[in-house]
Amino acid sequence: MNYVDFKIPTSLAEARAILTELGDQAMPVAGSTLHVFLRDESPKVGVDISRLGLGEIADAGDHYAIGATTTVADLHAFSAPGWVLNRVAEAFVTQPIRNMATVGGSVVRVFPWSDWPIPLLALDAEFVITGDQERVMSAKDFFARQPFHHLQPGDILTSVRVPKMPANAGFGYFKERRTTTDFSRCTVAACVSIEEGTLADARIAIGAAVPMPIRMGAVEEALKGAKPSAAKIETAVLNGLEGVRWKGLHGISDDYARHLTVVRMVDALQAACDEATAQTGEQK
Amino acid sequence: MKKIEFTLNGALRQFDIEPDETLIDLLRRIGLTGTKRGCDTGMCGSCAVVMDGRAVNACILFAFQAAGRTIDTIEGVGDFDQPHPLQVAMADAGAVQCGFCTPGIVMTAKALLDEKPDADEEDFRQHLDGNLCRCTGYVKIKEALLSCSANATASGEAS
Repeated sequence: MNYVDFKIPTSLAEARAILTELGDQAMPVAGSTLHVFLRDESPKVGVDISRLGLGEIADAGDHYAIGATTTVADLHAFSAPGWVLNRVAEAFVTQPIRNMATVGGSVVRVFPWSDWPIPLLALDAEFVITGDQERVMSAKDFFARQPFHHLQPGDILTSVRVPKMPANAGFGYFKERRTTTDFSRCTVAACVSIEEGTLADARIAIGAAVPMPIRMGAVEEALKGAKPSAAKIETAVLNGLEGVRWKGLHGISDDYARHLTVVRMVDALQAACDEATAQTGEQK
Repeated sequence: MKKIEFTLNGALRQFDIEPDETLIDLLRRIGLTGTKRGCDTGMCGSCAVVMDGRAVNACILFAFQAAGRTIDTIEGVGDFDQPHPLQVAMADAGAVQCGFCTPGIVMTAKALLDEKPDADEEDFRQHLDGNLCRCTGYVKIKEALLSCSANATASGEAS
């Protein structure tokens, strides 16, 4: 990055005023772990947004409100009923990076290998953007294009709302990488709930093997109302791939990216079903 | 150049920095060369320093992000005459060969032990997952670090 100046606001109002004034010249900085991947060499003013009081996780009833500059290390350390993001955090790069990287920074600018959009899509998270007015976006809308394009000058992503997993729900998460620091080749997150032995809800999202993270709507629809069996899951996955554009990263072919993701979709759904079944004490 | 101040190895200090200067550039510019530049992408851990009690990679952190914070480097941990127990343990266990990764490992382990003095093997595995060593392998490093845990000391495992 070509920083020609920096600002260190200490309140949200001050940060918004700075970002509004600077417009496109401003580059918000929190953990700074992704800046090494940015190729923008135009002159920028770094705006440190890590001191705005947005680094806490709050219990907000039916969801957890994660401040946008909460670090991945804090997501990892957090433990509470219906909280599963510690499992995602555990597979996120290395401890120093977990100590620096923030949830906001990890979703505002999506790279092909980004981890966090996938579980947040599967969990139906919402994204709170504070501008002149506060607005809330669904994960599907937020990740429909590069999320930073949703932000006007002066807007800041302030919070991510993650619904609590209900007692009859299960979560499955897989990230394929060769080493701890490696980029993901395929990331899959699944969330299901079981009522009276059938799948009341099934959500699955994939990333890294596709250009932008997506929900797999056809797979979800095929599973809703079904009894959770290995055969049903596999059939739903194999029949629900139409229209997906596969893109292999880091030396793997598009076909192998597809294969890897299909395998891990089945695994993630099965893991989520097993967990939900165990939670409800119901027999498969 | 723009002025910032932060607490460096226990002393509040002021520095003139360039806006795009990384923390490792600043540290090495002022003579604290114990912090090593390895990959320069936050992947190898040789540049690890402790910011506000947590290990971070100084190669990807901008110096201005340190303003108002507390930064600890290997120079503040120990020296040849008064080494930190972690440094002694690393030497005694033969966990040091070329030594390039050692400052980062010591800083990362120190951050863990300061937060959790009875850290166990899993804690060290998790917290040191960003520190690469290309000389010794990791067995002796693990043994050295574990010997400094109150957990190991309590169970008589310390050397």
